[in-house]
Amino acid sequence: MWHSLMELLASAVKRRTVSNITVSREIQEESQHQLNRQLEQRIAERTERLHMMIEASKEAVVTINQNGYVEEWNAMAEHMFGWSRREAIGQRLSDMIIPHKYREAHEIGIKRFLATEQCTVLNQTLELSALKRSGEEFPIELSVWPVRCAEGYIFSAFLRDITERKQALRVAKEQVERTLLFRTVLYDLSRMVKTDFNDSILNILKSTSETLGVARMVFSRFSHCHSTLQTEMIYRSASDDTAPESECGDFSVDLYPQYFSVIISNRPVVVDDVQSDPATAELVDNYLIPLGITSMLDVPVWLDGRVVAVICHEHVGPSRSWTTEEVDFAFCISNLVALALEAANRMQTEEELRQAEADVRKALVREQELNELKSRFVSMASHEFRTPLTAILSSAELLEAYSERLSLEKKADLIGMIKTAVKSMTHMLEEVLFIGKSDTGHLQFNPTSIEVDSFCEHLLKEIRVGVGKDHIIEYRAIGHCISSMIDPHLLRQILLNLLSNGIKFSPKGSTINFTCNCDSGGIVFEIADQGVGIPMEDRANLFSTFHRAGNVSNIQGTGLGLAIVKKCVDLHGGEIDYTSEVGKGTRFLVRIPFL
Amino acid sequence: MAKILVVENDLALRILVTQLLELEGYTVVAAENGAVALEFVENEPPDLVLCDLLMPEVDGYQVLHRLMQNPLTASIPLIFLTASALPSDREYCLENGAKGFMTKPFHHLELLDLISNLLPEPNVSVPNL
Repeated sequence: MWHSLMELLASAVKRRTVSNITVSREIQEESQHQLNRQLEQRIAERTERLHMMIEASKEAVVTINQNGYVEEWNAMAEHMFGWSRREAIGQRLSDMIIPHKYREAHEIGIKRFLATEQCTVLNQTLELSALKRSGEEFPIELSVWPVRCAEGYIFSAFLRDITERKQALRVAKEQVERTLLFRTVLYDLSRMVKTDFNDSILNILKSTSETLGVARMVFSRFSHCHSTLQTEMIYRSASDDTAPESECGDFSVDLYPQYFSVIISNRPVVVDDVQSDPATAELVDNYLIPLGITSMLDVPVWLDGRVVAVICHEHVGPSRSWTTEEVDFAFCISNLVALALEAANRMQTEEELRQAEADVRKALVREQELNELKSRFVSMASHEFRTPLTAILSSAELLEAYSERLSLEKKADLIGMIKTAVKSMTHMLEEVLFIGKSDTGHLQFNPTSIEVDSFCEHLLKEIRVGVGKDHIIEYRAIGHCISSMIDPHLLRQILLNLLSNGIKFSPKGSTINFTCNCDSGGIVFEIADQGVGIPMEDRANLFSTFHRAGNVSNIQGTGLGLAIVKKCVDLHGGEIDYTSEVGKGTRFLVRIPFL
Repeated sequence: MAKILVVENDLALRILVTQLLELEGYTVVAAENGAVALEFVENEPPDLVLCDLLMPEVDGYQVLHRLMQNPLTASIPLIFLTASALPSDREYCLENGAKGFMTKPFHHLELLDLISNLLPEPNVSVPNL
């Protein structure tokens, strides 16, 4: 503007001068004088107007000569930089308002222009910073142009303080960044795997706390009738922990009716100053003051047509005012929590269904097992009990029908047979009862200190005159099995059954090897026979109750012996293992660890 | 005097049945399993075989089949005395040539009736034991 005015004036003067040449000398002098006066007056008027315009300008107008000294300094420049016109005129501009970092460039720029009359910064708007008298640096926008004059060049500039504009831009940029951040966080959270509800909630609380810069995030769930609010998770950003706070577990509607009524009606509690807001005033003494909470943003979680929980953003420190964007963000978070809750509910339902299905299936299998067990028991009982019952009935009938023809000795034999049969039946009954006790968990385990070696010797004596009288039983003790904590009753069951089996399932006259080996870890009993062996197809069910191998169906037995052995070994915390070859023999190994 | 072969793997029952039949005047040969029984049959065929069904090694079914397959022994009456109470076992044995099927425990009079019905001549003298 300044530039164009000057040009206008110059061209007017030139035109006038040219026109004067053609006028007569007298008139010329007369009117020249008058014209000059008029012209001077107009120039003065215009210059005055120009000065006024410059003075009144909202922009600082500064002119310097080519040496960098200030020649013009308007009112706005005084106001903007804090230097008065009187102080400024004649000062080096760079000493007053150009920040140190730009000074050298400023000097070089002027020199280069004077040398080349070319410069890129001239005649355009630039954004730079300038110094106030106080030393404060602030952003400015300026345009500079050079004017040729008698002394060479002067440079004039319009300068505008753009602090506010910059500030507004910064705020707008921050807002955009924030919106972007909110979106990114929500996007990430929405894509999170929601298999574990606690993980999901922790993730959500942590992210929200970071994004909004909130010290405490709390997730609380309402009881079904909205009478209490139970804290489920607290996340503290300072310590990055979720330790529960025992002193404020449940919140009752009776104590905090205002707060409850807002949240339950699906409205948020957005409170900048907790002390003065009615919705939070009731929480101040018991909750907010002890925890140092000053501002609160609590949003309800809505699921299946009702408020089920609340997400609390609890700000600690100087109170803050929640922005609309933050409240919107909190609502989005509450929706995410609702989704996580829904996923958790769905998974729980699915899990319950799976569980129920598994239970039914298990019950069915158990039922089948019981049915099978029952039929095995029935077939065992009907078969195995018949032999001793026959002995009893036949003996009794012989004694009754042929009494007078039988010698006393024969009679005694018959009575002996009845007793033996009864004993054999009692034994079978005891086996069944033993398994029954074990199946119902009533089998007692009473370990006492026993001398294993003499225990075995004693047992062998009994067997050698009883079931094993037709076999050779070789016993060997390795190591010192002096004393161990073992239940003698159960050990007897283990050894008696294994030895009886060895005897029962191997030919008369064959040898049964019985070894008792003690080492530092425990005792290993080994019982090896040269009997029928265990067929492959029977090995899976070898220790099942009433199960009998296919190759021994013609040999008497209840099918309980090995089941009993297994249960007794289990009670000792031991292991049972075997190797077997059909037609060659079987070797059982029982390891009982020292208690 | 009729000779009866008793095949029974349980010692007590073997003794008891033998004793009963001897008290009734029969000559009794006892075998503890099917293999021994078949040897007996071959060497000196009895007038009747009283046989257990379930025995180790050679069982009652095998005894039945071996007897029926051999024309020399097919006519010897065979009675099963068994712990099996299964109707299917009974049917199978009777269909394949057995003359009787009694389930343990049995009443001695029923057994004696069955035996005497299957033997051509009644016994005359009865010994004391």
